[in-house]
Amino acid sequence: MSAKKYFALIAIVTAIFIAFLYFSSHIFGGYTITVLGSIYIFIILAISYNLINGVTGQFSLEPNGFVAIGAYVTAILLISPEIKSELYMLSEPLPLIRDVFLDPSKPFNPFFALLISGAFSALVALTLAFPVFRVRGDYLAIVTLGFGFIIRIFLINNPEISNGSMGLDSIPGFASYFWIGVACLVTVILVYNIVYSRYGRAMKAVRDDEDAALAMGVNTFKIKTLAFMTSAFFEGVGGGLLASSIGSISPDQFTFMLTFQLLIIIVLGGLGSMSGAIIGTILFLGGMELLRPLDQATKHLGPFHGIPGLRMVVFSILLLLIMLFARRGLLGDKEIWDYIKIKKFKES
Amino acid sequence: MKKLVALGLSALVASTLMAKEIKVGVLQPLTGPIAAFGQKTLDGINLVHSKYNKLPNGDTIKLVVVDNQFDKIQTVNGYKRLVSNENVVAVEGPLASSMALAVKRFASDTKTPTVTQIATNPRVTKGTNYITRACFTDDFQGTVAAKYALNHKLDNAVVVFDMKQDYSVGLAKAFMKAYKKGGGKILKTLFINTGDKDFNAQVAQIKKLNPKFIYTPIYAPEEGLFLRQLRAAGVKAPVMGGDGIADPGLLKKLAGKAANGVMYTDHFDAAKAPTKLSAEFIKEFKAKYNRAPSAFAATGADGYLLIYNAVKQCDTPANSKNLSEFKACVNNALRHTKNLEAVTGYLTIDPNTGNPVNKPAVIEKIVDGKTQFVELVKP
Repeated sequence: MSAKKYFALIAIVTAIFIAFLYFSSHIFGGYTITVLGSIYIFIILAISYNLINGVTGQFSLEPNGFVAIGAYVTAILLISPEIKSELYMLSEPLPLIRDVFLDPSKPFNPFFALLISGAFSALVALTLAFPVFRVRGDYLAIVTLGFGFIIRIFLINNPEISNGSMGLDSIPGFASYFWIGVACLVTVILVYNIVYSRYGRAMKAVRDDEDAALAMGVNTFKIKTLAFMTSAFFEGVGGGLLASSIGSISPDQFTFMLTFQLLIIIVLGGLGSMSGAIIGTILFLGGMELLRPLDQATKHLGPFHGIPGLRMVVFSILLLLIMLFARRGLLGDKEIWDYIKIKKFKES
Repeated sequence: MKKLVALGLSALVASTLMAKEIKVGVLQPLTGPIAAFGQKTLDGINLVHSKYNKLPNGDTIKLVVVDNQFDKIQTVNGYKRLVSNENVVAVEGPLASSMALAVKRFASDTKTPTVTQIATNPRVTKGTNYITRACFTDDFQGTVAAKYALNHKLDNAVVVFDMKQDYSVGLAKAFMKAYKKGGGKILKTLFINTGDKDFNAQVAQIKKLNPKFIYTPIYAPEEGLFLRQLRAAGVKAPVMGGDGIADPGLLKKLAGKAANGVMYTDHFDAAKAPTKLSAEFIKEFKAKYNRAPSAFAATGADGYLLIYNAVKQCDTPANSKNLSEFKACVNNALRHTKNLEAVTGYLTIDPNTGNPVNKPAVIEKIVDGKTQFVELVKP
């Protein structure tokens, strides 16, 4: 594809998506908009997690840690000092934490807060990369899993920074449906460009055979660190958006369950496939919402009626069936357009 | 036959035209880590709903139950579903303070009257006009414990709290504030973590300090083990907790005889019905579920009764055409509830804060795995 054609394609996708964002916020009710909003945020988290886990093939279990960092940095930056001194109930906030403030009513400030959150996460990822990438495979999973726990315990045990287990609330809600959508689009385009760049190919080489990649002159440590930092950056941004869209955060929100949800999403869509991660997110979050009537005892579904709690049973069975029949996820490690291309090729 | 069907159909159409259904949302954790609490709450709500679902003009109230999985994103999604898809006039829930804080902004944005029946964190109702609380706050529960201790001349204490639970930290703070104000002396604050099994370090310190009173606003699993180790070390000082240890069966299982004499503050005592309605509620609950109602069931019922009472006042033909006016009316009525007969007592809501006023707490004592009523404390 020539550069001209490529930019035209991106422009078209952007235009269609922005139009969809604009019209959907007018057509759909508040509920659908909220669900779509959380889908966009999880797309950001899933594709960035996919970058390290699927594309680079480093089985790490850290996203909950980076999402928590992003969420807390955004919250601390955007809550005013007055509210903070009222909010910190367990101990006085550190002067630095209390006074750092980007007025969210000024334009671009929320945007800067998100960038700082992402950068902060990326910085933590950089320091983490040195010890973490000394190990591979299962060991890497355990080390990164530990990181997620450390972040949560740090947040709980340092009330002067994070207000401990009480968490923070009254976070300004700058993350409207439209801006979450735009952030999602930007992330998808950026990550796509990384995956199909020289670095992306190096990442895939590391995934397929790290020793061979090393022998071919790829600096595997550098590549892995880059993938890790990029992933952490977008997870931080996603965390910031999450904090703003819900309005309150607490350490319990960022347990291993969050990582686990993201892992389900990317395995469901197909490890290493970007469009798979997007489809996985839509199926995971959308499916969970679509099955809601199963919980309602008053809703009749043929001869049956709903039982509170039935939804999660059905949802788990569906996940099981999908994984049984599509062992490598829905799309494997290919993209959705690869399938379309193959079909076209066969037809011609 | 055809005639019969036609008759039946027309009767159905006529009845739906005459009597409307008014939807009330219920947002509770029915799956996830605290599913048991949500299920107990739902039992209480279902029982009072089956009794009080008809309004004077023939309309009925229909419950729309939504699960929040004790997850913030699911809570927000479920709340939005109730408000904008199901068009409910009011929402009961969610039960935990952290989840109630997550719906705070959306309650204000959509102007939906929301009753949280057992979220005790003071910040839940702060800064919004649309969240009303049916229970007392952590501040009050801590104060009650402090008052009890001081009234019984127990003027120095050790506080043991769980660093990981916002509930525990809030309660400990409230207790210490009230206790110091009343002239009590805090000898030491010790902390534990959820899931801890070994409390010997804390117990050794307590033994050395020899306090007259030990306040433990933690949850039942830790409390049980803590009590066993405390009594084994020979510490005899009275121990009191919050509603988090209101599980006498579990305490007995974990602590055996050491659980005897431990006290806690609670919302409600099934053996002491404060109103006529609650006596009936307890009787019917036992008949239907074969066990005594817990504080969760009782406060769940209270939340529903608050909403029922408000909807009853607002269900006029004019209101039924305009949902937002209906909701505004329900919210106003909720906030101005006066002396409503409910399960845990008579409820009066302060219109400015959304918290109940003069809501008493009960102090209970555990004897042989059963609760025993000690006293009723009024604010």
